[in-house]
Amino acid sequence: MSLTLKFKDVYIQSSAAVAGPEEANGPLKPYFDYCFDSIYANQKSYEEGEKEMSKTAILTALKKSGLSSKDIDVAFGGDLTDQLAVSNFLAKEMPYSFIGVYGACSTAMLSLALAATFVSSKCAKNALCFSSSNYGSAERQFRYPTEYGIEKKDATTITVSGAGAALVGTRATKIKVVACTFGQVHDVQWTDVNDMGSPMAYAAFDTIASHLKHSKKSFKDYDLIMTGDLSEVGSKILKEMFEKEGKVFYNHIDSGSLVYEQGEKDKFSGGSGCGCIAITTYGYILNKMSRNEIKRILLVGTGALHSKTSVGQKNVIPVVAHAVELERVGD
Amino acid sequence: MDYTTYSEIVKNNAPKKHMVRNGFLAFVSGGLMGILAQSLIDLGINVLQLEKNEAMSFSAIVIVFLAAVLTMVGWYNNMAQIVGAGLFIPTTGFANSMTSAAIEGKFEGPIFGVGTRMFALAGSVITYGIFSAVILCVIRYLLTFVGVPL
Repeated sequence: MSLTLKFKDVYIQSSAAVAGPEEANGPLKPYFDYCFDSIYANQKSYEEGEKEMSKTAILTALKKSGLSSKDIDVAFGGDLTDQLAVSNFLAKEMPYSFIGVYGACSTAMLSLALAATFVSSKCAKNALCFSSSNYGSAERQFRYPTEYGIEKKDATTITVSGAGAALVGTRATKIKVVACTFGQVHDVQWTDVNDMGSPMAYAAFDTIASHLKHSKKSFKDYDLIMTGDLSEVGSKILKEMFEKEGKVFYNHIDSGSLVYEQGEKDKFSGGSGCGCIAITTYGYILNKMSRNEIKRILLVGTGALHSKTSVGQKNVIPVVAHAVELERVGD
Repeated sequence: MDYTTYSEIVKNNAPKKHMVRNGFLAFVSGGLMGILAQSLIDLGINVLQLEKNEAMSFSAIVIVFLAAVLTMVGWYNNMAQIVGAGLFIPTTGFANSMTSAAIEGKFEGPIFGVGTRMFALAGSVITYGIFSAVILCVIRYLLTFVGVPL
């Protein structure tokens, strides 16, 4: 059974989204706070570049909130690199407590849910959450060198280069963090790393169903339910799973299908990575909410929890999904 | 939802494999690679006046060099996405696996970066290339005992 928490007086103080060059070419460009023209982000390696993107996102979010780093009690963050190298190295520069979290591509929602939990339980007044991914560093770690010429499958997703950060606190704003569901880790006997949307659809289904059940809501209570990076394949599977249960999942969207132009051939089945739902949420979605175009949304970060070693040893890919519910209030 | 129903849905939604298209493109591009290599050998023999063995080496060197340059400028992976095995199976695939890994090895420096990482993907080809050569040589040697001359 997944754990659903309802929050009291938790609000998004500010947020920022920083994107790489491919994402800046996509339809969400106007919603990004800053775009880098290379995934190196003026640094010497992909990892340093990712760190720079994350740092930019955090500083921008802080600046927008009007708070200073002294006001932050704790930060939750993560990325896809081994031992959370990017986030931990970034945390060296933070004058507040830092808790690194890993939920693969669900990290953005996991860190947001944890930050909200700390604020709601009065353990922290203001908490920061952030996550990042970089095409170069992820590809290099989990797959092949970026210039390696191998034929990619249609179900492949492209790791988004970008970072998102948000400040969560008790000061009332227009956007309220209502509840969250921490998902269970599932094993659906999946081993194909070139299609991670299919197994993650199972985790997304379970988390969404649990969240709806625990909060006694249905699809019609939301303007939108956005999953992280299920790809085109996984999105279809998720919809069909709900249809089998007699529910029409009409208000679903996958953030991986938003970041790049639809039908772009070199983007295969859409975007993925910690940065995917992070830049979509902290850039696009929160912007739409502050303009009152979206009132209530359920965000579901999905993650495939494999490592290069586990894949090499022909092990299965465990999957997880974490959900956070946001609502526009005070109208 | 139970696992069987889920598996059924996954199966129905599995993306199509383009085996005929990929096979055709690999066949044509692989053939073109062959023509290119043979033309280089002919060029070596007829124009550069090389011995046949030298001309074959010359052809291989040119093709490996071209693959490395195409990798460096970032065209190789786009071409490989289209033709697949047509570029992967010839020496071009080997050259690309080394250069692409070497490019990213630079972050960790010349010894543990470029030097080590360069063989991350190509190492297997070298290991089993040498291994199978040894096995074949032994078989070839054993055949002399049943009257097949070396």
